[in-house]
Amino acid sequence: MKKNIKKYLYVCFYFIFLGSFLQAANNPNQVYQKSNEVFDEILSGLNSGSVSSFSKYLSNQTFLSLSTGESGYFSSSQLYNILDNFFNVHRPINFKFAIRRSDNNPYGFGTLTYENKGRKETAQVYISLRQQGDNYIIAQLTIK
Amino acid sequence: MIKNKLKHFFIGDRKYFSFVVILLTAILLIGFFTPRVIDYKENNWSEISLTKQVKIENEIIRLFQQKQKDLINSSTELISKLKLKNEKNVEEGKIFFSVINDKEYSGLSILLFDSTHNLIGWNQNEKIEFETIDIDTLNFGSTEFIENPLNVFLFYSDTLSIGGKKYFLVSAKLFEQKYTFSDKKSDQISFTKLVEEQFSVSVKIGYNHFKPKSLDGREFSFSLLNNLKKQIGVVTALSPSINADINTFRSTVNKIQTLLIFIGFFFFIVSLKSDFKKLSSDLLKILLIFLLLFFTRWLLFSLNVTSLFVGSSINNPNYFSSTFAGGIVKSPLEFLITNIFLFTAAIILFHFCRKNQNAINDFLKFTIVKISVASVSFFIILLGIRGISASIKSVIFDSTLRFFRDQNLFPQFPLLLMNINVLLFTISGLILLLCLALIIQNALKDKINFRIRFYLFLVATILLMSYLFITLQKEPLISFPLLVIVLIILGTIHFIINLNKNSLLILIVSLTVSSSFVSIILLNHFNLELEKQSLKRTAIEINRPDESYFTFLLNETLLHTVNSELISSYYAQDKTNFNSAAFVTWKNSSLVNEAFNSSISFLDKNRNLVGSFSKGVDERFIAPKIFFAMKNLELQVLDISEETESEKIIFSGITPIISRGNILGYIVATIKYDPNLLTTTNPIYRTTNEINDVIRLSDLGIIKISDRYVRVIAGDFIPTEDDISKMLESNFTAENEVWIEHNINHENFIIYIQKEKLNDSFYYTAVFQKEREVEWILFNFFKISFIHSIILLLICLTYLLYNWKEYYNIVNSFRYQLLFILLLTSILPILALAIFNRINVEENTNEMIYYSLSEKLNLIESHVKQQLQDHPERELQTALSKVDEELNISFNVYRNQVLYFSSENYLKSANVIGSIINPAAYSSFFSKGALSFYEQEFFEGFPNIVYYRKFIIDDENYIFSINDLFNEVYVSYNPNEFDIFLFGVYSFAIIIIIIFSSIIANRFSKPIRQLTSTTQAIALGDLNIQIENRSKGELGDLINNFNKMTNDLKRTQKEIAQLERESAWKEMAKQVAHEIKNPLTPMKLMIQQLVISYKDKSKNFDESFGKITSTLLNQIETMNQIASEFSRFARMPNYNSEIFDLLQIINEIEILFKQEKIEITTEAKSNAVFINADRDQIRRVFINLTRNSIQANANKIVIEVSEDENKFFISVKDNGSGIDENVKEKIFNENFTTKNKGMGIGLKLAAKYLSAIEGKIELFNSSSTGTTFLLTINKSK
Repeated sequence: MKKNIKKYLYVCFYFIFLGSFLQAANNPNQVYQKSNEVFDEILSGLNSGSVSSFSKYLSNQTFLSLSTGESGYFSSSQLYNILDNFFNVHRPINFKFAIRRSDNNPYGFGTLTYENKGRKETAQVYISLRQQGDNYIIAQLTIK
Repeated sequence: MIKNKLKHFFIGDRKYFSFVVILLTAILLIGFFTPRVIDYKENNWSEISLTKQVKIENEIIRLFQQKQKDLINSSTELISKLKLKNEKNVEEGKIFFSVINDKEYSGLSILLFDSTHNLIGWNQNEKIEFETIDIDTLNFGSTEFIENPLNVFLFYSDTLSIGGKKYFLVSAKLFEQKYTFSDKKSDQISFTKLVEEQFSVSVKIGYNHFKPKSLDGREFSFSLLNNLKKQIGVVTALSPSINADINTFRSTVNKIQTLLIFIGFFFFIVSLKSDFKKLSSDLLKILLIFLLLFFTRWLLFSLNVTSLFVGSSINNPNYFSSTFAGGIVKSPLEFLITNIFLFTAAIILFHFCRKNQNAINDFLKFTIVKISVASVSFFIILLGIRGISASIKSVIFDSTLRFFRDQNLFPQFPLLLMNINVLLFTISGLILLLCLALIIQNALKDKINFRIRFYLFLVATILLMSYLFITLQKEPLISFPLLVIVLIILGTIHFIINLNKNSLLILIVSLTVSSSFVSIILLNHFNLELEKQSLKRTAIEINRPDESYFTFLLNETLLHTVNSELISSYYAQDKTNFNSAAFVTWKNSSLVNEAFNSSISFLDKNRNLVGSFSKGVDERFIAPKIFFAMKNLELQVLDISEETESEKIIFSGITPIISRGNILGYIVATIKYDPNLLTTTNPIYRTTNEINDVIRLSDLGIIKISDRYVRVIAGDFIPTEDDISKMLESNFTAENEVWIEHNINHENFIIYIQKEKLNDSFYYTAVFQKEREVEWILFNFFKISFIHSIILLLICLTYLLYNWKEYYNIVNSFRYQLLFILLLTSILPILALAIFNRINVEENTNEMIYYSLSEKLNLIESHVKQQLQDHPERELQTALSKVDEELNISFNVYRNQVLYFSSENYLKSANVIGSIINPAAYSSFFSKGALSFYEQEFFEGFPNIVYYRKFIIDDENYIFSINDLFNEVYVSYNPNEFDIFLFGVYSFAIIIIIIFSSIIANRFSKPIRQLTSTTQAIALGDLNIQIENRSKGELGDLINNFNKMTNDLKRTQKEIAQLERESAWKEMAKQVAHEIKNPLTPMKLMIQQLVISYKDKSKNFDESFGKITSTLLNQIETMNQIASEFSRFARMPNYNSEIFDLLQIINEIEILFKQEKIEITTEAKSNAVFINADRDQIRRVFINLTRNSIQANANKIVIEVSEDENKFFISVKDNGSGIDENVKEKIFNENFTTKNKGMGIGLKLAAKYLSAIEGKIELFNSSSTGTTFLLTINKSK
């Protein structure tokens, strides 16, 4: 009886051990899922011109470059207001990712269609993400 | 009845409600008519559009004609001058140069050719490629455009004849600059941009006479005609868009409505002014004011007033932006507006607290309440300091403005505005903290026992509370030493303000100086933190660009260029300088903003290279051979990095240029990422993305470590293996980063290390910064304090101008004259020293630059000679190229006046560098025979020192030049930085001198002022006054003698008064005796007669009795009258009755006792209190009461004036030691006094004076905390 219990326990531990490996193996996918979520929120924000949709991913280490000349590192408060002003003047109509990668160094780029003083124009957008702990922040946002 | 009610309601200020109604109506009407106007526009758009087009066309043509006219006028004037000057038979060459280079013509490019078409004169502004000018094809006397890929010029050509010789003049004005090196787009000269901004229209201009007009219905075109009415250009503009027009209209309507709302709001507030004044509760008033301020600020913010009416850089969140409080500080301008409101609220609250200290005292009755309130107030002070600290941290971190790195003595406007914001905010914060300090002072007033033990206990408590406050927080935002410093400053201002309650100027100066000090130390503290954080950003920036980004960037660059009509036009024109075209294309692309190297090149349709511009990309990558081998080339980007150089990443992209289905050529864009080349310091290649915009590159070190291989990217800090081991063995966080402090080569460094994993290997990026020295911290302090000093000076000047009447008389006073002399004798030598030092440094700096450039040129000369000697077969161009490669020094060579060789070959081939030598240099060499020359010049707006020297090589004249723009020249002091330090130090020193001189002048003039005010009091009848004498020497003797004189005067006056009284009484007694004696004698005789008549039983006794008794009664009546007369005479004093304002008398008393340690405040509901009395007597009453209060150790008197229908009630309340209970009833008795000195008739006289005008004075109450007298006086009729 005791021997059976021991065996039983060994098997349990074995499966637990295996399970933890599987879990570890699953983690990258969970991380990739997170980067996808970030891209989705950025997509939503760029389509609606709402910075609040993705402002939580902006940080002091986000590099911003816009066609209006703003270029460099700003604080998250400044980023919010600069982008807000930008979208007030260049009202987004539509944005689509042409390329979107969610691997080790997630990045994507696409075309943003917007309205400026009554005219429709387009701009190329580049976004890259960087992992910070378990989360992602926007490393670079370029709209040219 | 309703009409009357309304009339009654809308009296006084309420009449302004009518304006509010009118404005509201206007807003509604505008709202009503706006859609109708829009409908009208939509329905009649074609006509409106045509009118607009005609207007735009006429305006643009007018603008162009004006510029053309100016050019022609300047040119004809120049020709006249040239002719005039040369008629005086002076050497032509010299005259040509001097006239052409006159400052008047600095806006033009001028070329002068002789009859053989040789260039003989030019000015320093020359930018036209003179080789492209074909004299034979010019239409003299007319204007034309000349266009190249870099610029468009409007030029005018003409001939002139001087001394029988013919000359050709070309003068040109820059019309369109297609690139700029400046950060500011506004510096770029562009007629197109000017027109677009002025007329809000999108415009393209063809600067040639064959450009056709547009047939596109969405556009309209018109010609630009020259002075001979010939077409020289075509303007094509987009037809006005109805949507854009409606948007503009709506925006204008929005602005008007916003303005009307504000004016309406203003009148609404004004209409409630009288009602506001009638409120009795000060607390209610202050709450309403705060509500008003809050609402007004909210209104300004929600209506977006700043964006509507102010569109400039100060509204740009790039400079500063915080999301605090929903965005009321989202730009420097919004921050300023919020600051103004905060400052106003702080001032009002402070004034309220000072005025209502009695109310506060009444509230703080119990000890437990006092201690609780004091503790809570102190805690709020600590929170307030933390709040100020948090705000200044936001100013540093949420801003791209670098307070301490700006090189200018006077900063640019956005930075200046932020400096003002920081100062104003700190002042407001300190004022609010002073309110709390006032509460604490009132709470602890009774407890202060002036013993050292008490103060030690208080200080210990404060320090302990502060320490706990810091240590118990996760993020305290301020260090303990800084907190203590701020508390000390706060205590000091509070003390100064208490000492000088009546001086607003001292309050302003002490607050501003303290706030400046606090804000600078906090700015500096957070800037150090920012510098530390910037090391992390630098590491991120070094590693930011990767393959995906390069691909994106090249794709975007090529897409952007291929759609440009301009690029197609390059292939359409003959003789296009494709190097210039490549430069302009590169300058206008996204590549220019990046720190890494890049290039643009043009290929023809056969894929031959026709032109290129490169910033640091090797020639073999400009047009990679890989593209030549490909068959069909569509837009693509490839990684062409070489395996041998793994750290250098090279990407290149290509796209065809197609016009009407035909391939005209190709554009190739290349990026070369080499970390070592990210830190270029050449200002002309300065990008917006600096590696680190907080710390100078010279103070930084950057290294990359991989597999123990160390690569130095910037700086000259070379760590040893031990250093590297220590760095790599540090404890990295979960985010793979670490901060360490380490000593390398006996210098302390702060190091940030970032770890990255790539394919099972770790790579480290380490960024070093040297620890800051004290001099640097002092430099930063003085840099900002200079700006604050200027602000303080302006505030003081404004205050003095506003109160000029008050200060005009004071300026003539002894104190201010003494102060002026002290300042003059101290400041003048300092200023002289400052000017001397400045001149010295400037001269030394120029000498150092000259010496350095000269040495470099010596080196070049020797190398060139060596090259020619060793390789006589080599051409000079080749030899110069070799020297350039070997020495890595940038230099130019001119053969006669033309540029022959330049180290900056790409700029030369793109014609960005001018092809002709500086005319002043040329003139000095060839007219004056100089061997060297140097001058400050400007290259694309960048000032630089250029040094020229003449050499003779193979019997030909060559002029070598070298400048400090493309070559690093070491100077021990940057003149700009020295200016900042000098002005900062001296302005700080001047403030210290002013403060100490004021203290000294005040101290030395105090006895004189005391004498003056005492003399005034004596003149007004107060002889009880004595001056406290602490002075020694002559002044001490003067004061003693003055006091003695006053006492003698008082005694003499008493004696004289006594003698006069005695004499008066004697005289009166004599008079009385005489008057009474007069009727007594006949009365005695009559009674004697009556007695005789009675004894004689005379027959006429009855008749006699009647007569005699009647006479006796008359005499008695007479005597009674005499007695009454004398009695009235004794009662009635001499007094001069007049109607006057009692408040004026009280004001005189306030001024009279200003120098004494007593504060007198008056509170009266009315602006004037008119009574009918003797002015001198009433004055003496108040002097007496004040003197009594001082003698009862009071330091504050509050005089309150209230009224009913017929009388004024004046209460005089002091905070002295009060009157003893057992003497209260005697105080109005004559000759009663509790003092050692005095006659004891002051209050008696006061009572007498007031009763003479049917008023009265009574003791209202008295206790150990003060005494109140109540005076009742009838109102004047």
